[in-house]
Amino acid sequence: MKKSYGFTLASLLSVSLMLSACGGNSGNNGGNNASPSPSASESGASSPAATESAAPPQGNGETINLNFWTLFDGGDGANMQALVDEFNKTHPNIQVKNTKLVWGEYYTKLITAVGNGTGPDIGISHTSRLPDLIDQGVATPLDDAATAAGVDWGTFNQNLLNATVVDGEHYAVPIDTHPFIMYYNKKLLKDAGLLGDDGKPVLEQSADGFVQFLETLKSKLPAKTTPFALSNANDDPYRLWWALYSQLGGNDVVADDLKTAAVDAEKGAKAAEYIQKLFTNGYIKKNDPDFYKNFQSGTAAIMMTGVWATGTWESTKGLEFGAMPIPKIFDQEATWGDSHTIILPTTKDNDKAKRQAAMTFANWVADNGQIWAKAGHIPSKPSVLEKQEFKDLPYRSDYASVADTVKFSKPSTKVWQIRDNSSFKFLNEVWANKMTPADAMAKMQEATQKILNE
Amino acid sequence: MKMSKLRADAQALLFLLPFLAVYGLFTIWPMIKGVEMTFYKWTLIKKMKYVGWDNYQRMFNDPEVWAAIWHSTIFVILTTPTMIVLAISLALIANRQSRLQKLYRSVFFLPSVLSVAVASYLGLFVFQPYNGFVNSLLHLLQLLPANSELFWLTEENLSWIALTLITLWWTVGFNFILYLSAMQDIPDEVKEAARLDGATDWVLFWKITLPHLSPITKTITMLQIISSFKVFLQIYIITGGGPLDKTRPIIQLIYQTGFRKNDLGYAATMSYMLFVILLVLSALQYWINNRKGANA
Amino acid sequence: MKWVYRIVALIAAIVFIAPLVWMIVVSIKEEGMKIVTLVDWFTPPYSFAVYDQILSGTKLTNWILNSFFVAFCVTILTVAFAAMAGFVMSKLPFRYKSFMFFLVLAGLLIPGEAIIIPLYQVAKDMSLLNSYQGLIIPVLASPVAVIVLKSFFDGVPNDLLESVQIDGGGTWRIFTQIMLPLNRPALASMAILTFIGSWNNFLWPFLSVTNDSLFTLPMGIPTLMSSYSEDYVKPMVVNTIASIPIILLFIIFERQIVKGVSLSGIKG
Repeated sequence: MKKSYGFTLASLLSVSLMLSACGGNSGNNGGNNASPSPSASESGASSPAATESAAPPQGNGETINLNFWTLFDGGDGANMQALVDEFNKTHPNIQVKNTKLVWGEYYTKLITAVGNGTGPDIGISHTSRLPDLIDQGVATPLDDAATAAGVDWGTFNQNLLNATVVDGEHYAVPIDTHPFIMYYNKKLLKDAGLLGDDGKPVLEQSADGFVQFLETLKSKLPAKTTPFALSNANDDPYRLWWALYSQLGGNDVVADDLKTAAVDAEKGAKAAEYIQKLFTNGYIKKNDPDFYKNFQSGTAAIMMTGVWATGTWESTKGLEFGAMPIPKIFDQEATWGDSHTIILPTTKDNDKAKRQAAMTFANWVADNGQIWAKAGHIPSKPSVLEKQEFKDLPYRSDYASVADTVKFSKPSTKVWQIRDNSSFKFLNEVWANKMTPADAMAKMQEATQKILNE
Repeated sequence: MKMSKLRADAQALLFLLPFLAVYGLFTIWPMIKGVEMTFYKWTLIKKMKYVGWDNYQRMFNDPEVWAAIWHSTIFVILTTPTMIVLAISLALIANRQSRLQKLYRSVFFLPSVLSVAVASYLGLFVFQPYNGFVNSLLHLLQLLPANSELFWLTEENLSWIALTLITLWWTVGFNFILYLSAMQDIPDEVKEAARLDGATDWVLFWKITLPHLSPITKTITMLQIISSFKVFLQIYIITGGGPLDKTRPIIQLIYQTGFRKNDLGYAATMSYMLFVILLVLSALQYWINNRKGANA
Repeated sequence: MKWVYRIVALIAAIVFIAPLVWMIVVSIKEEGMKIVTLVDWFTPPYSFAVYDQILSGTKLTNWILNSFFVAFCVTILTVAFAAMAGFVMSKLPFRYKSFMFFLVLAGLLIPGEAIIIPLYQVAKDMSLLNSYQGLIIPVLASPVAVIVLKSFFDGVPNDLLESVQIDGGGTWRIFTQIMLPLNRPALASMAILTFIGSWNNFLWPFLSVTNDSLFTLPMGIPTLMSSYSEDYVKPMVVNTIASIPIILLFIIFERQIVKGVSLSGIKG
């Protein structure tokens, strides 16, 4: 009998050994994250600090390693990787490791990970998401670290900066603005006789003018060509709606007290009805599964999305395009926009040296906005706009001014929830012609209030 | 004697220990812990405050919860009978003497080994408008006019059909094998005897094969109902629960409430609702299986 | 009649295999080609550039290995634990036996999905999140496997065990040298089902792991699908690469797998 105990114990022991062997691997895989896209390596040369020593800092023991979580995809992803590579090259004592997460799951993963103490040292937050992250205790105040790292808040665009300050404390370092703009295919516009001698679209800036413009495109271009490439659901049409709603004088869907839903039903319905017509008139390809590819492959005359597409279009061979602010369709110029910021999430020890190093990185990214601008974004420091390297980038100056007309959302902690669970949902139905704009506004008001009450 | 009894207990415990430890820590304890969570506002970061029965009250008055349960139910209603019919049909095909018999068996089972993510993404692209497989095949066969498209993933009814087809394709393999082996258990003499009596294939199927399949059908039906009720990833990837949350199943709502909306307490409350439903279904299964002295 | 059968059979087979063929064909199509009709997917130019890009530029192979590794650990341990427990409950006398049986039976009724939220909290309290241990340990207790194996063990005649005992064999010997070998088919069946279950497990890994070095396939694959563009080629390459190992395994072990699945129906 004794023998059998021994066996059982031995088997239990081997099981636990096996488990620890199973676990032992987890550390090894961390190192091989670097997966720079091909375009990333090309961007290295433009940094002012590129001449500094690029020796790998291994072995001197003082290197600070920082985990950086990002949500950037496509061209954005490659450019952020380029920035990180450049920073690591020029700062031997600070090594930043960039981990790309899926856009749709990014915030969930960030909050979850910070909650269980496995979050990163540096994170990205949209300005619109910042109040929520502060409220959850994910984003930390960073004035101490900023002072230590010698950050001069005065060098930032104050408009952007103000949105990151709560109760007099800074919570984030803005690195860009990314408004919703319009792109056009020069060749197709020319074919339709809608390209002026200055290379810009011939387009009357009014409600009828824009429809007329699209109607001409539709009638003059081959049937397989899409006049207006736009997603049929969620983000982009919502952004267009937000822009037009704001052009009509609509002021967010939440009141200033951030507790009351305040959808301006009349203005909202007018904007939604206008966009619905663009869909039902056939200017936009129905349920276009790939509106980006549609414009990219030269089969769509115009397209609207965030400025981050600029970098993608530029790297597309044979695509002759232009960029401009979205037309002034209603009373005043306005568009949708948001801003990326760098935050320092709560970590287990909130290590001072790490936080200072992280702020050095954040400030450096903002200072080198001309690299980030390659993706299409508008830099957050006015001084970067004056840099020759920025001026040399085409297209950006065509829309840099838009930054001033961006209508940001109010600093509610529920901005994203309202967007995902109310605005998207009902507006999508309007675009699919299954709900009237007026009904959608009523439903949005109700759903927004419900979310605010939760 | 007493000593040896103690020893026997200790020995049994040692054998049971690995299972019991995991079972206790990761099944029983969360069951109990979950009850506590339902009485709190509880976020991903920390326990916030005691809210009493608020979460329950809110759940019973939340139309989204009932809608999500209804969507899971729709999925059960759509997939269960079709699954049985398809599995039996495929088994009939693969059970016939033919040079391709083995090949049929492999082909029908093959999708079942794919990862759920692969099956879902494949489904997503198969049902895309314009260049997706199904629509372009329909265009090619001229079953669908050239200038019209079926929007499988954005029309409510079509998306249910697409989800059902993808799920059937991906999971029918298991049930198909179960039916096939049940059919092969039918003694040849029985069939021969029936044939000699002049029974056609048709009669043979209805009078002999089908009755023989009835016990396994009972088992499959119940297992299918329970597993369909727990559907999540296919729907999450393929329609995201849309359009207008009209295909969102209960598990997706629990996930979104807990992790997207950061409300673990409320999500735990919904989990108990799910638990009760599955409990009733399982009890039903147990009862049906044991009613006529079937072996458990 | 025979012809009808043949045609129906052939069509069914084609319907089942067609999506997979299409997946592979699209995956080797050169990216960005204009597609007008279905035929265009099947015509050249072909290219393996995307394969190269995915294999060298992403962690997909890493995730395939993770999936296999986790499924392997889970399968071995789950079946081992369940066999030990099933054996005790079938053949050894001990106090509280009926209580134990009830406890395990109750577990059959607790669906993993319903306790996932508190489980997350428990794993978090135990610092199990974001680790292989966390992916593996919490799923190791399978009451179904215990009950099924117990019922198979019940079928082994007690006389056989007694004869070993008379020979001076201990309980452990009875377990390893009689019970396990005699029930090899049942154990294999449980192992196959457990492996496939783990291979497809999504919810728990999805919630418990944020480190992309630890991802398994069901979590990793969505991260490779771009949120901006729905190009066909890349997703199909990802799907194909992710499927090749498991399809090869299936081809090699088809007989055993089919047997295992059909056996599970008898006691299920």
